Amino acid sequence: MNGPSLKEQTSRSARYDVLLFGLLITLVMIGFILSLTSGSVSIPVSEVWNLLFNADAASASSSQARIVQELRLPRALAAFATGAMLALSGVMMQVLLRNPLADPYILGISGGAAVGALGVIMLGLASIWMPYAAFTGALLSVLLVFGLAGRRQGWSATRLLLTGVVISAGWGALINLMLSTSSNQTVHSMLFWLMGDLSQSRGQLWHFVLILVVLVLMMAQARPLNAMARGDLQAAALGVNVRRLRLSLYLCASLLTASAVTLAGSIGFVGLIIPHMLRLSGARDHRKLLPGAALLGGSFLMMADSLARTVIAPQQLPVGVLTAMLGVPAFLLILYRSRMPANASGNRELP
Amino acid sequence: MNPGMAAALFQIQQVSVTMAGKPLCNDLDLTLRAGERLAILGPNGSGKTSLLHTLMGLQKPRTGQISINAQNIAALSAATLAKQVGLLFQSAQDEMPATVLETILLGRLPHQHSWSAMSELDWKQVECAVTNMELSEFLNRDVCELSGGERQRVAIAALLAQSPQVFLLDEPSNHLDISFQIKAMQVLSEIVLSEQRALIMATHDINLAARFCDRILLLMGNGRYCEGRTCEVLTESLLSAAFCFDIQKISHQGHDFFFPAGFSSQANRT
Repeated sequence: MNGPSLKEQTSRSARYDVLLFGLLITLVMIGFILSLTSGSVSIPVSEVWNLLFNADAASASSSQARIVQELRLPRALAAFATGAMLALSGVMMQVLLRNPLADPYILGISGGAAVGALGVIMLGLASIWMPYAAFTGALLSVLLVFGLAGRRQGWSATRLLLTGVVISAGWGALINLMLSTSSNQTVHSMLFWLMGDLSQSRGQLWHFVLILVVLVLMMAQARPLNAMARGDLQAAALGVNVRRLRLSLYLCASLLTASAVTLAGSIGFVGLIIPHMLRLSGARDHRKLLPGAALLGGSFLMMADSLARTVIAPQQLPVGVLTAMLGVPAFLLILYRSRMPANASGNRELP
Repeated sequence: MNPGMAAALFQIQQVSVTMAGKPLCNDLDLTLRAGERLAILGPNGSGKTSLLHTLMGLQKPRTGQISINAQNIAALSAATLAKQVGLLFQSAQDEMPATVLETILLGRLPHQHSWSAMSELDWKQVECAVTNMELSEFLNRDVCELSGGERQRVAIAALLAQSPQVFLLDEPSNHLDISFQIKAMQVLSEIVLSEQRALIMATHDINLAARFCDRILLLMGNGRYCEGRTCEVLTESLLSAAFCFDIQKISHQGHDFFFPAGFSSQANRT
């Protein structure tokens, strides 16, 4: 072959990947700094470091230290974990359903969680039972769709999608029923939950363990996932055990979504847009797309949450409002500037 | 077995395929030896694609068994089978974006482990496939924005990169211009003959089959079939019976060409 060999050309694109991941890690750091410094009490960057790591210093008992250690750090971790889980789940759902419009909530998981969460808000038990109720609702929805989509059909994309969308609609009706029969005070906290809100969220170790485990599991299947994006039959002909892969995709993505929804309510937009932002930036291979989505999703939600706390401080906005407000222009900018065609369906432009 | 003949590579024994209760082929017996090329011909819905999918292990035959190198494919894992048998699909599904290079690299999937990098052999096969299908200018284009023929060349290149023992081709000449129809078949034929592999292609192009295949499997559309050497099966009477249409033969420079006759029908005169 004339010119540089394929291998050389690919190593050039590897340099681009290093750049991309360098940028993503920088974004994560910026996200952390923003979440730790912004809020109704302003704490300069230089002091955050001291407050976090010099616990023995005299400042340890000060209110600033408590704000950073007990409020902002757990919330920043929660934001990162939620964003990473949603973006990862979005990538997986889009391959599972081979549909660029799929997002983590499309199969009704958030609906189930919302019914659980709103139920306990209605009963006035939200403070203790909220996470358990939301997680139970999400799992119930996962099992329902899983059972109804049918073993025999091998959870085909169309059947899963149809079942999920219908179950989702069912949850939607229940949610509206609860909203319309609740008092004004409860409706406000219900709406906050539905829009997605991190103010009560605390990131915990198991969230990160879950992300890591799913990431490792899926990275081991990254090449088969690339094949599955070309269709189930094509993947099967290339030696992929499609049934098993679809099953693990569905279960892992559902578990991530259920955890994210339990942690922060149904924050929209992250799971749909982050995978596309990365694909448009050239990371279409799942070996880059999966870790990239975790990093970008996490940093994006940390930034959105920082803004949610400061835009109309001391009042706080639900972060779900900000994800769309930030995400729409950012996504459109990338879409506009990208050289890759956006019409993934292969439809050609009309003359 | 005659010691002068090459070893049996691909064996189909008593295989019956049905679709929605309708028999497509009954008790098919066929042995493909190394270096042989077989064309499957037949009218629409006669079971060409179903048979190819069955041979790839994508659907189970109603009865009978298929073996490659004397191993029953039902006992092989999909991954092991994909190292030895590769299938070119009738059409590609491109809902998700991917570049031409990424699509061709997927052909190497059966030969790779999860965490391994591309080996020298992987690169060699891919480069060879790219050169053969003349795709070096296209590598970074998105597969969604290619023309039908270009997309087909990418699919053939991916199959060449996969480099299986048995090539299964579902209408390989789909969308290709005349020159690439011949080039693609020449490349595949050369690999099959020089490296003692085998090829089975379903096609509607009788003349392509006549030119490149040693044997023909003619599916009659009702479960019956006709199998034999190309010159035995490609006759006016058999083809006309299979397609329920008057098919005639002309000879030019020692080659036979088949064409649909029936010029005197009403529709042609209007």
